[in-house]
Amino acid sequence: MELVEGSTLKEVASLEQPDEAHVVRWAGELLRLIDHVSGRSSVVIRELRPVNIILTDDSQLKVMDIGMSRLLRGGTIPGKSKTRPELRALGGCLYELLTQIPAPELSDRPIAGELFRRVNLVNPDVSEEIADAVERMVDPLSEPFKSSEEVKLNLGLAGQPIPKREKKEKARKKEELFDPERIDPAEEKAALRTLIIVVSLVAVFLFGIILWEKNKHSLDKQGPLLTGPPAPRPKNFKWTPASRALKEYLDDLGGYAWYERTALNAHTLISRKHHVQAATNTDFMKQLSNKVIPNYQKFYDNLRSIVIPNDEIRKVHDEYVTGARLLLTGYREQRKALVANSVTDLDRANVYISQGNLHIGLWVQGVRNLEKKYGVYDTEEETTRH
Amino acid sequence: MLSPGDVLENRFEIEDVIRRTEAFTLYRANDRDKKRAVLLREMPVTARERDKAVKQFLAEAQARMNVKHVLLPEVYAAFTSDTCTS
Repeated sequence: MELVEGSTLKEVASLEQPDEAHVVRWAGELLRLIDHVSGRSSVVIRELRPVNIILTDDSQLKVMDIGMSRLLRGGTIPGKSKTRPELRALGGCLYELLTQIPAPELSDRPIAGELFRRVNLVNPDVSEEIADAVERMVDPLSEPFKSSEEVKLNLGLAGQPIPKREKKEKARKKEELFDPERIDPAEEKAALRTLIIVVSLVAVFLFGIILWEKNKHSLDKQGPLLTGPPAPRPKNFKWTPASRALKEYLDDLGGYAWYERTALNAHTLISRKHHVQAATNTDFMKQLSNKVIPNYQKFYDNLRSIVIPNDEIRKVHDEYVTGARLLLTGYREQRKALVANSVTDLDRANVYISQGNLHIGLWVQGVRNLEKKYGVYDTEEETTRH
Repeated sequence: MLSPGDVLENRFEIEDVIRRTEAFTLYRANDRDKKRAVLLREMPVTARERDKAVKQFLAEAQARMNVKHVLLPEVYAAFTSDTCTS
């Protein structure tokens, strides 16, 4: 069979307890597999174990063994359980991922079954809703789910978008429809019209990307911190408590700039590489984990520790703190999204980053206004600008 | 049990053992025909249960080959040999 390289979910979970959101997302993918298999063949999945599921280097799940069993005549399956075996298998898998212990081998007869411990009694971080859903899948004494749709609903997965790679498969199938041998002349016109619309949309999309890149680069050049030549100090300039406070504030920031610059440079570098697919998700995650997040965290902590006596400066500084918090959250969410291979989550992470940059832009404007108001800078007295 | 260098079906050359369990052994192998690395699963059976087990294995493997999904690694071949059932 196809050679798959990566780590089993058991290994992944043993390194770091996956949070509920990840496990639920994986459950969504496995449910789609269950639907696919049960809808197209006379076989059922009887086994879904973390040790048999591989998370590849590009964060894709691969189920190496589904413990397949053929349906008996009449559409029944061996065993007495009222729960569909594939849903029971999924429940066992989720139980193990959320608790790090294998699901108990529960018999249909309570007297022979091992005692069932609710998932959130073992792992208190698991919500009641998810614990309920897993219990209904695993414990034969609970009310069984009748369908995978019901499971999705109870796991909060109903209406979740299809992952990108499945979209790609669907797109590939759609492309087959454009094969001239398969299209009659009447359909050909419709196909051509669709093609024109698609090409137009792609052109608009590409134009948008070009604009975005252009803006992004100009933002990069500008940076979240102040740049550009300092304004000359007015001839009649005299230091005041406010102007001294602003200078000290900017000097303080200069002391922490290294952390911010290191994080932002690392992020910009890997984002661009990633954009042209020169880096894998693993590279991106490593860079986020090793450089971007730790350095930005240090910068953010230092930012919060700055004491500012001047109300006006403090108000402007608060914008920076808010922006930095949003950026940090965005970087963390990016890492989570990459682990889960979720385009939706990646989009959400990018929203945090955009909002963060907006607040930092407000801070830049605020500081420039204060500089003008207090007339702080001159070329002789070096004031740190980053 | 197979060793590195063993060739099955005049096609799959064993390169390394990846994992060994009570039920099966996984090998990394080289598919000489397609010139690609593959995963080979050996499922040994005893002589007593051979006929029944082989029949069931081949039936399930055939059914598995017909199921294609992005989450399932593709199964390229299923066969039996005198030394192993793969």
